[in-house]
Amino acid sequence: MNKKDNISTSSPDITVSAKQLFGIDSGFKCPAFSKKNEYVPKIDDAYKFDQDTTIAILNGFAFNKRVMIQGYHGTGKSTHIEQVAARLNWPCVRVNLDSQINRMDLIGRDTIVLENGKQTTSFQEGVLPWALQRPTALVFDEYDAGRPDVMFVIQRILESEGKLTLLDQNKFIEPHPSFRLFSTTNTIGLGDTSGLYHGTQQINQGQMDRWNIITCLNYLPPEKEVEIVLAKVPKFLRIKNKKIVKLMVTLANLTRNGFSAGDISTVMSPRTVIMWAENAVSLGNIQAAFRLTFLNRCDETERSIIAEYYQRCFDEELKESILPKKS
Amino acid sequence: MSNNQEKNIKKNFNIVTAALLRSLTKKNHHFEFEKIADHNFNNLTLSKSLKLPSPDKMTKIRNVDFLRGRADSLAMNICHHDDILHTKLKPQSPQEAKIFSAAEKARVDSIGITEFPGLKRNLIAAIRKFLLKNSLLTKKRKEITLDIVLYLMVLKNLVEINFPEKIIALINKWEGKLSLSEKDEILSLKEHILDQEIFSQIIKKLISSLKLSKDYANKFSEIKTKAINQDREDPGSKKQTLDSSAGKTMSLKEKTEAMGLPGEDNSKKDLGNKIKEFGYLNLKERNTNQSGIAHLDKINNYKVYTKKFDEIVSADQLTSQNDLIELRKKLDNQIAELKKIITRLANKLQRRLLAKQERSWEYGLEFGYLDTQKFAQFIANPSNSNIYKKEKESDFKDTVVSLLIDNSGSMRGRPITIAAICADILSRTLERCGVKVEILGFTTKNWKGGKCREKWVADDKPESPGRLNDLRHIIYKSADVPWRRISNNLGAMLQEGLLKENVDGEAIIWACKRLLLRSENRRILMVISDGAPVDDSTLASNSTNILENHLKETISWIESNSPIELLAIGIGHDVTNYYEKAVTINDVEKLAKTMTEELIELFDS
Repeated sequence: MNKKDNISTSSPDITVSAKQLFGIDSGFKCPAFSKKNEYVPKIDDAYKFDQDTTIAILNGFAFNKRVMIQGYHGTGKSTHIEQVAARLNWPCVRVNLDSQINRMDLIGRDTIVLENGKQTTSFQEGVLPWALQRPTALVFDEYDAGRPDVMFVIQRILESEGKLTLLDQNKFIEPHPSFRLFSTTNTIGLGDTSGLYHGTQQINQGQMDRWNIITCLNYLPPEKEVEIVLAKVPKFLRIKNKKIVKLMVTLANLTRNGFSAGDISTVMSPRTVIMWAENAVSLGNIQAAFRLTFLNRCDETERSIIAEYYQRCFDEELKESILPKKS
Repeated sequence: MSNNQEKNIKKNFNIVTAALLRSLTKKNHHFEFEKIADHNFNNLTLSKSLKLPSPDKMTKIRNVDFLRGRADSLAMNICHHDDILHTKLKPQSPQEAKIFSAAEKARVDSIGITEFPGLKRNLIAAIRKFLLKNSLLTKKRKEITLDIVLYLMVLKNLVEINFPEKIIALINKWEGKLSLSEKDEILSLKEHILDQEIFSQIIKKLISSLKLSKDYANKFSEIKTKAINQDREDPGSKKQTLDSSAGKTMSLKEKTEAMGLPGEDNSKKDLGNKIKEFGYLNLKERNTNQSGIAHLDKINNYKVYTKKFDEIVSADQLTSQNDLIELRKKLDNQIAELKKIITRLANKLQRRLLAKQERSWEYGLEFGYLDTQKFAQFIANPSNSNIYKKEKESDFKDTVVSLLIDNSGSMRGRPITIAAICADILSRTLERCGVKVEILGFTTKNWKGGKCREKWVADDKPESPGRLNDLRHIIYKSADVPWRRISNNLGAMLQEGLLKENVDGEAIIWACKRLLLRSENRRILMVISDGAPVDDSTLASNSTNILENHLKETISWIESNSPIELLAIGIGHDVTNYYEKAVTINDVEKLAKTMTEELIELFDS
């Protein structure tokens, strides 16, 4: 990160059409880079973009707005931002705000380096100053898990033109005009009331105020979800047909309804469905894959309910069902 | 089917099926299960009632697929049938209306079968059972009515379905009598399966055409007579009219999610592993070397005539599982309005508690975890020893709260309902913030002294017998059990005949003992009561203030000698005399607000 790299000087030099690049229904035109560099994420050709979320992210890129994406786990929030950046050739760096991240990691610290055979201390920039001076999109994942004392470090750069002061270095850093900031979270910063997201903190409202755009990415309509599963696990069609994927997504939606109704305590996220499909391909059996992917995660007392869901979708009696298998 | 399997089904079928129905319909209805009396097609067509047959009352269970089929049919009805539109479009004459409904039922069932393959098996089982019970399949079968025939014909045309042979024979017989144009109409139904309006128009046309055809004409009058007979036999079916102009009937209770509550759950990952319920027996076996516990039993020469008949029960032992569910539903219905207010208060409590749970690191220490960022300093100069970090002790201590609720007769009605729901919501909130919660109740087993008094009488009524009634201490929720396993238990508080007399001192001792055996740093006991301790039998045979004195002394001992923080809320009764930390409220509606404020205060200090 210390090397003088050529990306510090580059800027977006072309404009692209959202419709062409992302397959969404919009006339939006967004600035982009013509050349890739090492920090641009790899493109996943099969990725399916969600209309509203993509527009929000593009607004963030085009107009330097701070965008926060909130949603249930496994819905693809961070991936969404990455894939947009990938297609815009925009360098993108993800930072996970876990409990061990502190101010020094973000701002920078003194380290010992070898120069001319001698040991000297030199200030190594943390990820914030580094990203701030380059045309990078910085993504904070698990934003609501960040500790309150750490979050204040970020406060300043949340403003669009916010300069960063490095006290250790007596330096003022102006953000690169193409620096962008995004975050993803499970809760909306008011604490978790669903009981699913242990370890999330409440976010200081003053900080929440500085995020310009907040968008939700939750479960997609079933048809879209089916497409995504098939795109991610193309081998599935070798063992079963598309109708089975539809049933898998239907079953996932039953668990989501059941969770909302308070009947079960675990849900199948879109990621779970994809894992189920992958496991089914390697095991060759839908039922066995289901047990290994999801059923074994569930509370024992709830497995019979999930077995009922399974019976309706696949017309098969799981051994966890209350009704015994017919001989 | 083995005995065990049958027992398993009887116990779990209703719960599991209700959950499934909620998922299928995406609505939080409460479904009721009852005896399978009806095999009446009227009841099968588009009934608005949320009542379903239950295996509970079956003497021998061979196969319950048909029960599933009945449930599925109801679910599809809720999801895809627009009753207002149906009433608008249906034919005037009752016979035709019946046939019309039967066709609509076929449409709705077919949508279900297309979406959920498992429904096919269940629905066929239900149809088959229905036909059998109405003697329509056997050799000496009765003449089948047109509505049933049309139902089967339409169903067969809409989805690929492998009916049993006899049913196919039945359908074929009647299909053979259709004219070509009528057959075409039926075939055209398939493309309109999702559009109730167009589908209904086609059916109406079909019905008029069938009326004219001589093979079917007399079938219409048959329905009429059969309908009259069925109505006479089964007055219950009269309640289920297809006329929705009367508005939603009482049985269709729409239970909307109250502020996202039903989905909440204490799913702390470390509780995910098997949790043993710490019943009283386990507590007894633990090494109780706390002198406090021993002393509690000897306060002020308080006597108990005999503890032989006392009981400590868990709420789910008080009544059957099904009754618990009913009571829980009753509880939720009674305070629907209040729930919103209480939830808001609870969220406020949660935010306050979470804000207190600050966690941060302390740097530059001489011991602790190696701070990798300072490691460079150490290399630069090995005598730099303050390169360690430690997690700062958050002020928020490991806490357990015990809610002890007076279950005496004076709490009957609104007070106990409100107390139950406050306990429910606040304890769920506290659990989300990492505070463990116990919910306990106390009353007596009988009104006039029960077996204890009988023994006293048999022993020739010795002087000053001490407490003279059989106690009942109830555990609604134990501290280590997660919410999702006991959410119905609070309904038990509403049980008829549960609330009797109250012996407060001993109840508090019991609750304290449970708390003292726990390992948390902070232990809080919150008592909610609406009156002084009263037990007629005891007060009649001892000095009149025996119970009150015992209560006072218990409280003062606990407040001065034990680590338990004691706090009381009196409903319409001044408790500030007894307890050091107490609040009296005059109106039980204020209970939620008071409990929240007290809890916030407890955690603020």
